[in-house]
Amino acid sequence: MAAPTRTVAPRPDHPVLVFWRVMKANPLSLFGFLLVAVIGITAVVVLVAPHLLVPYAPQQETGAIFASPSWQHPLGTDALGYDAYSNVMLALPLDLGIGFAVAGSALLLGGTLGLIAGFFDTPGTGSGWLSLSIMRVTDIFLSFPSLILALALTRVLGLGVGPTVLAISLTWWPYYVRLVRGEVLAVKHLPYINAARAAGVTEGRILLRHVVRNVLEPVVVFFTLDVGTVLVTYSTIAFIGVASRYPGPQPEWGAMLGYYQQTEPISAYPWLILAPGLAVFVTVFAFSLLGDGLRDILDPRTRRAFVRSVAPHEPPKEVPVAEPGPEPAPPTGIGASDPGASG
Amino acid sequence: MGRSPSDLLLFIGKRLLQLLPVLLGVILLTFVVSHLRLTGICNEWYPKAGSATIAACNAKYSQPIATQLVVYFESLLGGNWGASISGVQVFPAISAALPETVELVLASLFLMVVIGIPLGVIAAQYAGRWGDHLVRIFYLSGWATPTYLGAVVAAVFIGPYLGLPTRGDFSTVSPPFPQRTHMSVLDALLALNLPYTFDAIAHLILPAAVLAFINMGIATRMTRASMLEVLPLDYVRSARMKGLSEFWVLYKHALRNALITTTTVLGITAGGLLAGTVVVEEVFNWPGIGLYAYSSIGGGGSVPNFDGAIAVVIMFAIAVVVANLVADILYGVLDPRVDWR
Amino acid sequence: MTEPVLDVQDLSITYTVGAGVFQAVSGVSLKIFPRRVVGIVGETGCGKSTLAQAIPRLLPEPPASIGSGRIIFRGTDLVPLPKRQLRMVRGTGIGMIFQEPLNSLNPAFRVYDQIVESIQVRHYREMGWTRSFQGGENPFDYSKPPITASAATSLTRAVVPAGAAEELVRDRLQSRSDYRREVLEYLRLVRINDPETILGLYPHELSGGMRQRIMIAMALSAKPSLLIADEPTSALDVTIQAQVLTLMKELIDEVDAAILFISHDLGVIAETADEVGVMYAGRLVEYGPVAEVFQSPRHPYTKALLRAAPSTYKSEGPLHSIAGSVPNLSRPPAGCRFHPRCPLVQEVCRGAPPPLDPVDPKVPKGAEGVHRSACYFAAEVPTLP
Repeated sequence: MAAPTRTVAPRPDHPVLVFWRVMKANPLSLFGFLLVAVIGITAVVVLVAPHLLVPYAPQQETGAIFASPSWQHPLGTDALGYDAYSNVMLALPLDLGIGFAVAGSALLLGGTLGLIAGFFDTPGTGSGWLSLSIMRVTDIFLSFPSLILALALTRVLGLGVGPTVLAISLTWWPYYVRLVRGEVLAVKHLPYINAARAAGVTEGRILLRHVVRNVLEPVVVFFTLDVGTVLVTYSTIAFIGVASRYPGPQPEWGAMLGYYQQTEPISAYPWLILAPGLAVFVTVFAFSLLGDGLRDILDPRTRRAFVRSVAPHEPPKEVPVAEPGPEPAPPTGIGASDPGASG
Repeated sequence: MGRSPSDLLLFIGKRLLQLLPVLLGVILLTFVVSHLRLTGICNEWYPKAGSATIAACNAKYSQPIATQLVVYFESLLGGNWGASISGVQVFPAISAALPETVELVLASLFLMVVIGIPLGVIAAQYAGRWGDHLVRIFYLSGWATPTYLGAVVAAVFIGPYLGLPTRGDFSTVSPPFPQRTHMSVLDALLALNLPYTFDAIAHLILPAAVLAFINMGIATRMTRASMLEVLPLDYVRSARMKGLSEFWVLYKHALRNALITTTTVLGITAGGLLAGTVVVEEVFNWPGIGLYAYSSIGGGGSVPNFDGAIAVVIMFAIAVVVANLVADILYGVLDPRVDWR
Repeated sequence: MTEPVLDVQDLSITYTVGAGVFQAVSGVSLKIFPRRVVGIVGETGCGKSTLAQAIPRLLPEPPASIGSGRIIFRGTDLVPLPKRQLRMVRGTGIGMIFQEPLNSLNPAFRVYDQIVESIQVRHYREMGWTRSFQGGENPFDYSKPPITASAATSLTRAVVPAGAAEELVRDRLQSRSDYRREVLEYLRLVRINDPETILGLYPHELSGGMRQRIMIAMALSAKPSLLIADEPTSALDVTIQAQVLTLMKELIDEVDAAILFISHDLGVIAETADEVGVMYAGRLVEYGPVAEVFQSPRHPYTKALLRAAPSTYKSEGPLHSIAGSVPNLSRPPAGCRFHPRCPLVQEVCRGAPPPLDPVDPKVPKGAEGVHRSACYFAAEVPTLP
C-alpha cells in the first residue's frame, strides 16, 4: 500500500497579489481606479498649486475671441476671450468636492437613520414608532425626483453655490436610508447575529460591529457611484442657471455649457461644448467604472465569477503523514455501534 | 393559489390604497417646502414685479398658516392652480403639457426596453468576455453623460448630421389639426394626417433617444445581473434539453424569470427619466411639463412662476408614485409566487 | 443483433479552471441497447454526472472539453456535430431528467405550458416545420415511429371518459383541445390520477414527487429514443422515491426507450437497471448484468462500496468505509486510479491502467453484455472480506 498522505491546502496568496489578480481579471475597473486616482491628484494640484496646471485666471481676457484650440489655448476661448481650458480645470475641485461633500453627508445622515430604522423596528415599541416615521418621511421624499426637489429648494433657500449644495443635500439622504435599511434587514436575522445575542452581546454593539461590517460593502459601491450622480445633479442645476454663474470667479462645467448653449452660435465652435462636456463625462465615467467594478468584486453573488480567476494556481499538495504503521486507523462512521471502539 | 383575474383587481386596489398616504405626504411636503420663507417668498419669486403685485402677494402670504393650508388644498383639488405673474393659468398649461411628456417618456421607455434588455442578455451570455465589456462601456457612458451634455451634443451635432429635427414636436408651430390628446404622434394619427405623423415621429426620435441612452444603464445592469443568476439554474438546462433554440431558451425561459427583479428598478428609472425631461425638453424645445418646470423655476433667466412650480413639483411626484405602483403590480404579475389576495 | 441506441467509445472529458486541468472522465466506453436500462453508480465526484451531461453535449464547453472519444447516437457521432444540428438531437432523440425537480421546472410557467412545449417541439419536427427539415431525408429525424397498439391502449387508459374532460376546461386552453388531450394522456401515463386539476398549477404549488413525475412526462412526451436520468430520485424522500422508481420500471416497456440511469444509491440501481457500470475517479472499473455485479463483484472498489452500504436490520459493528480519499483529478494516480486505497495492490497496478476485460477469461474480449472488471486481480476479489 502506498504511504498514507494527507491533503494540505496551499498557502493563501499575499493580499496585494490577490488585488492585482482581481484587477487583471476585470481590466475595466482597473482602468477606472487609475483614472479616479489621476483625477483626484489633478484636483488636489489645481486646488493647492494652480499655477502648475492652470495658465489663466477664469475671467482673464486673453485678447483672442473664439480662438480654435491651439498650443496656447488647448481648448480654445469663448466670446469673452476667456481661456476655456483654465475654466475647465478650475471647475474640477469644485465639482469633485461637491460630489464628495454631498454624498458624504447624505451617507452619514441617511446611513445612521437607515441603521436605526432597520435594526430597531420591532412594531409597538417606541423605537418601532421612530423607525416607522423615519421610513414614512423617507418614502415621501423619495417620491420626488431629486433634481426637481433640489430645484424647488434652491428657489426657497436662495441661488448660488452654497444654498444649492444645501438643497441637494436635503434631497439626497433618503436614498441612503433606503439602501442601508434594506441591507440591515437582510443581515439582521442571520444566524450569527442571533448567536451574538445569545452570547449576551448588547444590541448596540451588535449593530455597530457586526451589522455595519456587513452593510459596508454595498454602501461603499453605492457611494462611489453616487459621487458621480451628485456631480451630475449639481452640474445640471448649474446648467439650468440656478446655481453657479458663468462667467464668474468660480467656473463650473454645467454652468459653462448652459451659458454657451444660450448665448453662443455653438455649432460653429464645437470645442466649447467639448471642453466642459468631456471633463464632466470623463470624471463621472471614471467613478462609474470604479463603482461598477467594485460591485462585481464585493457583491457576493457575482463574486463567484472572480473566485476562479483568483484561486491559487497550485492544486492542493499531498504531504506524507508522519505517523508510522502499515494501516491507518479505521475512521469511524456515523453512529459507530461498538462503544469500545476508539472515537 | 389566489391568481385569478378578479384577484388581480383586489391586488391593484390594495396597492392603490397604500399610496394614498404617500400622496398626502407629498402634497404636504410641497406645501412646507414652498411656503418656508414666508416673508421672502414674494421677493424671491417675483424679483422684477411691480410694487402693487408684491403688496398683493405679501397680503396673501401673511395669513395664518392654517388658512393658507386650507386655501392650498382647496385650490389644488378644485383645479384652480393659480397663474403665472403674467396671468397665464397654470392648470390649462399643465394639462396641455403633461401628455406631451408622457409621450416622450413612453417613447424612451420603449427604446430602453427594446435595446437595453437584449443588451443585458448579451452581456450575461458573454460574461467576462469582450461582449460583456462592450455592453458595460456602453451603458456606463450613458450613465456618465449628464442629461444636458447628451441633449446638447445630440441637438447641436448629431441632429444636423443625421438630418433629424431638433426643435419642438412638429415642424410648424401649430399643426393643421386640433390637438385633442396633446400627444403629437397620436393627434396626427387621429387626424389621419400621414405626413404629419411621420413628422411627429421624426421630432420624437432624438429627445427620446437621448433620454433612453442616459437612463438605459440601470435596466441593462439589472437584466445582466439577474440573467447571470438564472442561467446556471437547472430549468435552463431542461429547456435546452427540450431541443429549443438558444434564442428561445434565453428569451422565453431565462429572461421571463430574470425580468422579475428588473421590474423593481422601474421606479428609479422613472424618476431619472422624469428629471431628465426638464433639461431635454428645454434643449429640444419639446412642449412638455419638463419645459414648463424649467421656466417655472426660472431657468435660463426666465421669469419664475410660483404657482406653476408648486403644481409641477406635485405632478412629478405623482408620476413617480404611479411608476412605482406600476412596477409593483408588474412584479406581482410576473412572479408566480405572489398571491394576489 | 440490434444496433445500440448509444455507443460511447473511449470518451475523455477534461475541465480547465484556474486551479488546474481536471480529468473528469477518462476512456469510458459503454453501449446501450433499446429497451435496456443501464445504470451508472459511483461516489460523488466520480464523473458520472459529467458523463451523463456530456452525452447530449450539455456541458458548458469553455471550462469543459471533450478530449477524445466518440458518442455515437443512432449511428451518428455527436462530438463533431455543429450546435444547430445538435439541438435537433435533444428532445426527440435524447431526453433528460434532472435531480432537483423544483429547479428543473421553470417556476414561471404552469404545468400545462411546460409539457405542451415538449409536445410542440416534437410536433413541429414531425411536420417538417422546423428549418432543418428542408425536404428530403434527414438523418436527424429522431421522432419515434407511431405508437404500437399495446402502447396506445396503455397511453389512452383514461380514468375520466373523453367527454367529461371538457367540462373542466379553462378559457385559455379551449382553443388547444388536441394538445390538451395529449398533455393529459402523458400525465396519466406517469400515474397522476386527476391530471386536469394540476394543469393550471405552478411548480411551487406541487409536491416533490409530483414535480418529478411531471419532469418524466415532459421528457417522455417528446418520445426520445434515449432517456438519461441523472439522479432523478436523490432529492425525494424514500416513499416517493419508491413510487417514482416503480413508475419508471413500468414505463420502460410502454415507451420503448432506452434509459441511462445515474445514481449514487446502489439500491436504486439494483432495483431499476439491467446492467450496471461502476465508476471511480472518471473511469469505469466494473460493468455487467446488475445481479452479477452486485452479488459477486470483481473489483475491490465495488466490493468495498457494497460493503460500505449500511444495512438496516443487521448490526455488524462499526460502519465500513473505504480508507483514503478520492484522488484529485488534476493529478490522478498513475496506473489504476484506485491503487492507493486498494488492499490487493501490487507493483503492476502502478504501471499501465488495467483494461476493462471480461471476468471470465474464456469469453472473448469484445463480447457484449458480459461481466467485466478493470482489475488485474479480479479473480481474487471474492476472497476479500
